[in-house]
Amino acid sequence: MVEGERGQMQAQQGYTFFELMAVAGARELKDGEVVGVGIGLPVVASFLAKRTHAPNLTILFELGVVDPEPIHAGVGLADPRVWYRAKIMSSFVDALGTVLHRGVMDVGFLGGLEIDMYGNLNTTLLGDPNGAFRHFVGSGGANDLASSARRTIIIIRHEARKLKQAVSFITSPGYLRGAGQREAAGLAGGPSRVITDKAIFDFEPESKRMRLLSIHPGTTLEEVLAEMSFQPILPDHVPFTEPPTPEEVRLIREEIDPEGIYSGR
Amino acid sequence: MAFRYLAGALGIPFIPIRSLRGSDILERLHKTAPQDIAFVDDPFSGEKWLVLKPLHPDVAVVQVQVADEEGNAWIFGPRWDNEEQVRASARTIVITERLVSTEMIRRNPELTRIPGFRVSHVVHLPFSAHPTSVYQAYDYDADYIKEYAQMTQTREGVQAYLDKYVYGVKDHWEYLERVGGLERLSKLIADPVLGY
Repeated sequence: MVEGERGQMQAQQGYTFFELMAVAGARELKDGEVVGVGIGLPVVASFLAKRTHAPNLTILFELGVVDPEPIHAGVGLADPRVWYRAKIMSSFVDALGTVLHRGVMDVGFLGGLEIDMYGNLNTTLLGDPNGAFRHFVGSGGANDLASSARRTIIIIRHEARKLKQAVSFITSPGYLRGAGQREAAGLAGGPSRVITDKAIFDFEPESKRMRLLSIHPGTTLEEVLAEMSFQPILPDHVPFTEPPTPEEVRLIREEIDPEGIYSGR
Repeated sequence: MAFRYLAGALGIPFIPIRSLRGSDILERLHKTAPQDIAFVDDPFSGEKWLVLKPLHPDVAVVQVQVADEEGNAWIFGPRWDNEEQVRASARTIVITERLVSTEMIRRNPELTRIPGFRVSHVVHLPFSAHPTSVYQAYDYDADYIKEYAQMTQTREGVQAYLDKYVYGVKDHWEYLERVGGLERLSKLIADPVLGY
């Protein structure tokens, strides 16, 4: 299906796939949790959760900005627009050290360039690290979040070149090469969900391999598998993802991202 | 990086860190900077920990909103790793938007983030971060940044940019005139409620 057709279908459904991903992300967050986010869709998902079922959520940016309520979209986390009305503005050591390293960050919310079947995430480079490659912005706080948060949620576009058999570079460790490997490296936590624009995945507890959890309405299993470079574990029964409610869509469009900066409207 | 500055600031020999384990960033560090990483056993639990070598820069350069002549400085907004960086470094240059008296600093000493007794040089230079922003002082200059991005697409463009804004001006004040002077800069001054 081409992008234009997907767009039309989304319009009929009353929400875009971006909004569906944000809503799915929001629903993974529990009230009272502390969530570390980067810029972009995880921010929309976190703000949505805080305005719906999780009013006591604490949203933290890696430079020590806590619970901001921006009214203008920023170009990055260094843009003061993103810090507006924050409760706390501290430092890297405060956020990455006394919160994340201390072990009180419940959720790390990440995007990425590539992910493999064990949830290892690449945000550093594409290509061969020992040969020709194209460098991206590197880790930021992604490695720290994936190493020390109690669990991580990953949002990534559903394309075969992004859902890879093996990633070019492990920026942020998932379950490495399978069961027991993360613990052997001295890491707790690990990825709990991967949210794409076609489906949601979790990780099978024994093998730590990615497992299909739900398929978004309007998408088929064949479409999900066609755009993956590895085979996820397929349970006998795969439900459809619960679609966004009209109120969730309204909150995103009218209150959280009225300028459409994050959601690219 | 912030942890390495923290270790440097505390004067401790290394700092344990949970990050990097199992990642290719660590693999790359083994090749490119083996002298900066090691593994040690926690003497209390026996657990194996990755440790990083402290950083002790020769000079730290920090941009602040307010400082006195001694370098006692107030930083508004997030402080990034400036506090650790200064304390880890041998010398520090403070660049300040506003130069105030020590009497002013004494009125709110709890705001002092950079200790003057660790500062070697103070530079008083308004709009010194242009075209980037200083929280609560002025916004970034989006038009200038667009012009920079366009001009520096080609090698000739980079030269033209440097001639116009770097080599073509005799000092900071002439640079500020070149970018549009007070008329342009006054439009960048931060709204006190928004901070940008």
